[in-house]
Amino acid sequence: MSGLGADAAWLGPMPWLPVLAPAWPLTLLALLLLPPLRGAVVRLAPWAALPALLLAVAAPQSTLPLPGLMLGGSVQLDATGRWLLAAVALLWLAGGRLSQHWLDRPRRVAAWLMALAGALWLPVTGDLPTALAAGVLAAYPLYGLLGAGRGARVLLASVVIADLLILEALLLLAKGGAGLDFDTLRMALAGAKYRDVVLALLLIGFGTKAGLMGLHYWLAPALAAAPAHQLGPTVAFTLAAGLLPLLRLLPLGEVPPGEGPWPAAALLPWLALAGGLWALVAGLLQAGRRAVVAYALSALTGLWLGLLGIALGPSTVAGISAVLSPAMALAGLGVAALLLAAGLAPGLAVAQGRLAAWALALLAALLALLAALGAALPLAAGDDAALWPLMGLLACVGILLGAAASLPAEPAQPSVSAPALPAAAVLVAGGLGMAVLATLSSVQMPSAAGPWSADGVVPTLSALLGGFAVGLLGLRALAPVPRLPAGDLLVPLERAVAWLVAAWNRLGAIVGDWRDGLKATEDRLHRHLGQQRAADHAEGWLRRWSTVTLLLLAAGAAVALLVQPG
Amino acid sequence: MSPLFDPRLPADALLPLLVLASSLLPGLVIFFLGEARVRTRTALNLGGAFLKLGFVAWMVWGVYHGQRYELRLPLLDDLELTLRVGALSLLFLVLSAGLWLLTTLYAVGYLEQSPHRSRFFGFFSLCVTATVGVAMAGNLLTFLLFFEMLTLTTYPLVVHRGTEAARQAGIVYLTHTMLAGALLLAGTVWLYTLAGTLTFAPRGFVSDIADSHPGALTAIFALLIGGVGVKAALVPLHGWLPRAMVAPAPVSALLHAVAVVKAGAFGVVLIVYDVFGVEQAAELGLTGPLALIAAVTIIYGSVRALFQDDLKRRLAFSTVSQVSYIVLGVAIVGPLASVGGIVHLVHQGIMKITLFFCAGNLAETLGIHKVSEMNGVGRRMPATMAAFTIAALGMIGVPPIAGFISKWYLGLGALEAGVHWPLYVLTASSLLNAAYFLPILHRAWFGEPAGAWAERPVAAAAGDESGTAAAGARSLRLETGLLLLLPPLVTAALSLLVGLLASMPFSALEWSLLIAEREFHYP
Amino acid sequence: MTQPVFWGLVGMALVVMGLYALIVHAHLLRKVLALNIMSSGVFLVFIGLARRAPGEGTPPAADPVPQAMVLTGIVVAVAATGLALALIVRLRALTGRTTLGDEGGH
Repeated sequence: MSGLGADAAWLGPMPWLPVLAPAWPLTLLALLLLPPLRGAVVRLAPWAALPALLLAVAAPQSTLPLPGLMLGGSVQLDATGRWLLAAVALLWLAGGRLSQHWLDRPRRVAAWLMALAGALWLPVTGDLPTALAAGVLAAYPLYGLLGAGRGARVLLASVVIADLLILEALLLLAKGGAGLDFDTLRMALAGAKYRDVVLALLLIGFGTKAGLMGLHYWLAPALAAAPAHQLGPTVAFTLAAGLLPLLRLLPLGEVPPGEGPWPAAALLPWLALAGGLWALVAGLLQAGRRAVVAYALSALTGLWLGLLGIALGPSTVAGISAVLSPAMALAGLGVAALLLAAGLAPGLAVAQGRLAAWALALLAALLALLAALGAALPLAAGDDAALWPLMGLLACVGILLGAAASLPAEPAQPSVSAPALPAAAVLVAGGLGMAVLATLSSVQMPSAAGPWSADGVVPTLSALLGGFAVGLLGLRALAPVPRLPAGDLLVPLERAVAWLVAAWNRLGAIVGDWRDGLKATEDRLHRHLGQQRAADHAEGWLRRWSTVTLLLLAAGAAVALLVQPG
Repeated sequence: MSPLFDPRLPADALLPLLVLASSLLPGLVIFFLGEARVRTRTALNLGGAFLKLGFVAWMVWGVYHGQRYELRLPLLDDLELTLRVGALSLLFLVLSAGLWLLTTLYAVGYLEQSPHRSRFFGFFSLCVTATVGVAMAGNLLTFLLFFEMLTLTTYPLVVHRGTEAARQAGIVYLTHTMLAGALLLAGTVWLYTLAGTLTFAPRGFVSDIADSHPGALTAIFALLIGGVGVKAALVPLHGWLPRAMVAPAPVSALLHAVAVVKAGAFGVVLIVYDVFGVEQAAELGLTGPLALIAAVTIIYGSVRALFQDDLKRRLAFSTVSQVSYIVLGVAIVGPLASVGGIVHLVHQGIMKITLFFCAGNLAETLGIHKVSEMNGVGRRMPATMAAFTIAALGMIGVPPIAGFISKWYLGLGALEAGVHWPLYVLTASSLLNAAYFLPILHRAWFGEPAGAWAERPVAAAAGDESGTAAAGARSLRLETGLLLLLPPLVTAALSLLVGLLASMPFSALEWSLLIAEREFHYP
Repeated sequence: MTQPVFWGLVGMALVVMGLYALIVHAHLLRKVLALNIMSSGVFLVFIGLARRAPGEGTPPAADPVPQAMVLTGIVVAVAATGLALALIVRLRALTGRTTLGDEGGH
């Protein structure tokens, strides 16, 4: 009622372009309901992410307020979202290429399109409630796509809890009554009364979706059990649903000068380092390549968390989110490429398969390098105290990546029947393109210590490459050590949950027994009274003349006493 | 002597009467129709439903532009039968009229070839008459009259099947609601003797006597809330609701989404806002215990629902839990919380009716009554299960479906009022909802079909529906009759749209904000 | 339509319905219920009549005599119903039936 007419921004066609990204898969979904068009939709579905990719590259920056949507929503395409939209679109395109034979039934296509629409909607949302709705659309169909098994179940349960925590955080932030879009929420978080609580809730909530260490237990089992065409989309989920909202919500470089340093934020790089070491230990002892890569992804998320922590402090680089966004996107692409290289079909000619695997592994390494370089830029301007945890994290990531590269490819899933080479080609081409664009844009970006200064780059590169080499060569040394189960926390968690459920059922049985006992006593009492024929006896007693006369006399006396004045 | 009925009534006063008459008259006529007069009966039902919807739409436009509709009939010297339509009444009216139309369609499809249809539809129409009477009540006496009429007209619907279980359920229902009626009457009479009037006023009408009779007012509040709380299924007065599930699915849908339970919740809203006034009630210390009862009911209902295997009983306990969101919103003293509670009237109605329609479809088409029999049913009845999925996710509070909006406002209202414990209650309730809805969804979509219905081939399953509905089903290869499939799809789509477009003008949320702005004079 | 007429019409409707039920139903308990409804109808007519007489004050006070007769009538109706129920119980104990004579059926 308020802004629909006043704001002329929505009248032009340009601001509506970002809507096309999720709208195209949703249109295909609607068309799926019509039987004659079903064949066409099934053929179009694997490529449904293409318009989004084009938008990410070519569409102008825009904001479209949609005041009627949910609690007052908006759609925006900005620099931060653009990189991640491109990465998500590329990952889904690669996944689509691999899934062309699997997407034969309408139900599968429906789930695919819904998850795709959600994943593409996430980078173009402008406010948190629609981001939550998009996250739901991205996560719930993923349950079916990942095979509805153990990993998917854990993912869904974690997502439900995470969404509740994020809702709490949002309620605490929105208490002022101002808008719910990301800019307003950033300001609110910077100056909020409970900002530590809100930060913790946001980190736990979005960290679960991003696979942060400590909340990573779903990632390794999910990736290990996922069909090959779902690997890219799962990585896309961690990027878009986990990392991007953190980028958007945290007031990076915007802490008001009067507020002073944020102690909780200074703790973050060290926490991330602890998580990285945990990922290192657990990851090196995993049984399969995919699980190791999952831990590498978690460690990478820790790296981003550390950088975000630095950015929340007073001495930060302006515009850091514009740097972090392409870095995260590229790193995500690299990890996905590594995963896909692990799952190539043996049906390919051996040389072709090995070539594809090496191409992907090289791409992965290249992209991860570029990502780390991008991450190094802020370090060039940052303070040295924060350097050590970040170096440590980079080393952990490097070791894990090297370990993953050195492991043999896993036996391919039976569902991968399409040639994997074109999928790899998509990722390679897209990744290289993005890397070039990122380098160009970062060269143009002003930075306090200038771009590519040697101070920041050398330690970063050495940590990463050194770690890679150590992992590549040294994994064999750990062969005799017993393996950890995938998602190491998951096993005690599952046991705890099972114990809780058993205790709950026992409690229910006890309460039930108690209620049965009460009822039995009640029945016994009933029968006992009935046997005594107490009612008949009482009635008989009341009928006797002596009783009636006495009662009448008593009543008369009572009335006489009451009627007496005073 | 004041004339009872003034023939020169303005048009404003006529509309409430027309709304009442549009279901009263068809209902009375239907009683005398023979069983075989299907077309006449359906025409009367649907005609009345559309007429009612039309009148309500007319009044929506009028009230939006500031007009008020009122009809007064003097019953006794200083007590009148008052029907008045304001923004709050319209919310309930739109919900009742819209959902009645859909339930009529569903009932026509569901009760094909059932005995005693004339009797059923007669009482059905009378039940809706009573509901709109409750919605349009202008004073406590009118409310009481229509509330009791609601009890009497829903009893035959509960015992419609005539089986022993239905009769037992009817006895329990009647005991509870008759007792409630007695409490309500006692409270009303006592209040009348103290306050001298019973007309609803925007900030309550007891502020004059609040200083002199705090104890009496507390007792009256307890009586009134006890009276409406039975219908609103507040713990421990909720015992009738799970038992009433023996009624046919259209009755369960109507009872649990529109008529009885919502009338009880609406009664709580009226008592706290228009009789006592929320600030006055807070001063008397009445809102705290009410909030506590609501919280206990929310948790208790969800916990009981976890352990039910019968699908309709699980949904019944879910209703017990969800309706108390409305009471919680009312009991937290604050404008945003009341918006959350009032908008949940509409949202919960739409979502719950979807769930019951789907449960009825499963029972009628495949003979499924228990959750354990639902493995793999998503393959056989995908449209029904899709509607069920949307409504179930809305119940959990997943955005963008309608339930999220109400939970948002309830949480925000709690924080605004400075209390934090409702947030924990809402979180716990969401988790419990997820715990008993998500496994159903997993079973339905990803389970392996097992059970008696899985062995029968599809054609035979569709053939169980006899009559025109099944003929339509066979020719279009629909999973069940068209009249059974359309209502849940419509209400599921509505739940999604009401949440997605919550901030558009004329959405439930905007209307609730309008109510808060107008009737409670909140900013 | 004034108030006395309204209540009179309602009372009349109740009497007619009660009379119909009294004649049509064979079961004795239903006959007793029908009699009760008829008596309620008669009481409503009386209360309506009480309004017709103009009294003092605003609003004009009602005539107290018909109201007293209604109170008496209520007491009489309760007593008569109690007697009728006791007779029905006795009839059932003696003959095992709850209908009279040649009307057949239980």
